[in-house]
Amino acid sequence: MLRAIAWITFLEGLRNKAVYGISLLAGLMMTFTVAISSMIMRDVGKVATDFALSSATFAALLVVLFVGITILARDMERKTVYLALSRAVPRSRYLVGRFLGLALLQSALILLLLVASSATLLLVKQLYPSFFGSVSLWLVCLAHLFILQQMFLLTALSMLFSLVASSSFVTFLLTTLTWLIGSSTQEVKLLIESAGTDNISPAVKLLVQLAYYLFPNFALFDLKATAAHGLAINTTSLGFSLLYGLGYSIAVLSVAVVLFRRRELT
Amino acid sequence: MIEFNDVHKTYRLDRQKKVTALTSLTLSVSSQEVFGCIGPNGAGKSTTIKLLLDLIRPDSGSITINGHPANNEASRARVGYLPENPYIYDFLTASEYLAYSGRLSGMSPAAIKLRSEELLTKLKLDQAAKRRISGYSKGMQQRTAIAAALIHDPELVVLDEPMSGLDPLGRKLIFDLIAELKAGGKTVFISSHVLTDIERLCDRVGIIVQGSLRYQGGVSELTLPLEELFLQVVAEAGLSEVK
Repeated sequence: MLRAIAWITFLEGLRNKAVYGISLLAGLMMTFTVAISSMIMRDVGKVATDFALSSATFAALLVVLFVGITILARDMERKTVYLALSRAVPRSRYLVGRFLGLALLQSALILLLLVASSATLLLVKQLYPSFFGSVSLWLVCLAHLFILQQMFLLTALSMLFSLVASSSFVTFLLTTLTWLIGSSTQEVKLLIESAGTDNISPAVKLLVQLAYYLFPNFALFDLKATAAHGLAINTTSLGFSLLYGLGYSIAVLSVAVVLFRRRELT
Repeated sequence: MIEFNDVHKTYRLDRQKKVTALTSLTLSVSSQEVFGCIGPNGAGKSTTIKLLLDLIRPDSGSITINGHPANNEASRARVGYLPENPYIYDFLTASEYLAYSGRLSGMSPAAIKLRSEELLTKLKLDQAAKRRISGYSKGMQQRTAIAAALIHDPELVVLDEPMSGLDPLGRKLIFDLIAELKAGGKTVFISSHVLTDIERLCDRVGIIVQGSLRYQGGVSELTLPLEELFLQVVAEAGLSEVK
């Protein structure tokens, strides 16, 4: 039952033309990475890695915003959810099945983007061996895994928002805002806490603190700098980030399940 | 098989406005009975069905299917439902949609294949089974939705406007299918505006007007044609507005 729902969700995403458009866009961005590398005189590998990972993050984000949200919104609007819920399918199982299907779609996309990123970096290395430096493909892989974790969490959040928002546009806005805030709170908090910021009002400091603890910290999953600069990885820190992502996703999905159980499907 | 006991349901339009959809609905449908639920537009027929399937919840009262409370998933283990104007996953083919429907009820792939072929042939969808539903006509989509509702051989079949969007050939197919369900001892709950079909197919009929069950009785006991009875009941209810 769970597998059937997950599979249908995956198929729905796969057969959505937007996914192909986004994949094509990601391909174009990777091509641009190669082009831009020709203009850099040194640390080509670092720049190319940064661009490739940014392209992958952007493409994965577009899939959450334009495919994931659409799938859920259509389910409610068109009442296609009736088929499953008129059977002995618990609402919790339905929602989790939908999430797993979207997670599978994201995983397939990230795998494709990983192949594209790796191919791009190898090509750039081939073209500019003197200026490439060294880039660890293992770190690039790891960075993609963490992009995937980010998207799992964002997908869970978009599902929660779709249950409270009045329209798919509001869900889109809430998800985008959460992404933007969650990606920047760590940096802003560090800035606020640094020396020479006594002229910042306590209210602003409090707001930043609240945002930092309330919104998910997407910066924990950002390994672009680590991969680009070949920095040493702290396995404890990465383990914590993965657990944080998993825990936060489960918590968000649990709240979504509670809301979905109570929802009237008129 | 189905029991509604003093069920009330209101919809909240906004903070101040509420609409009463059902008032003190008490209704029972016996096992192996074909029950026709008729009423004007907005009477509460679809609300009754959605309450039965736990898609919405009553404000008060109780609803059971085979002794199980409607809000328990176990009550719907052997239920097949066709909603009014169904949307189905148009990115799938009819075969894939039936397979999904079958898997939701725990059917094996072999059983799904056998039953799918039977239903697709019966509903004249066998030639189009491998095409995406997005290319189907309204009638084909309706028939696909009906097939999906029946794939798992349910004991209770709930049909909300089953003839909607069908041409006369399609209607004949569905009529024969419902007659076959009746002959096979299934319990069928039909909501429909096509009173001639209700009269021919159903054992009992209930007329809901403005959220209240105004009449229920055996079709064989009718002293008037159903349409005349319907209009009489509606007039007695004081319904002046046509929705």
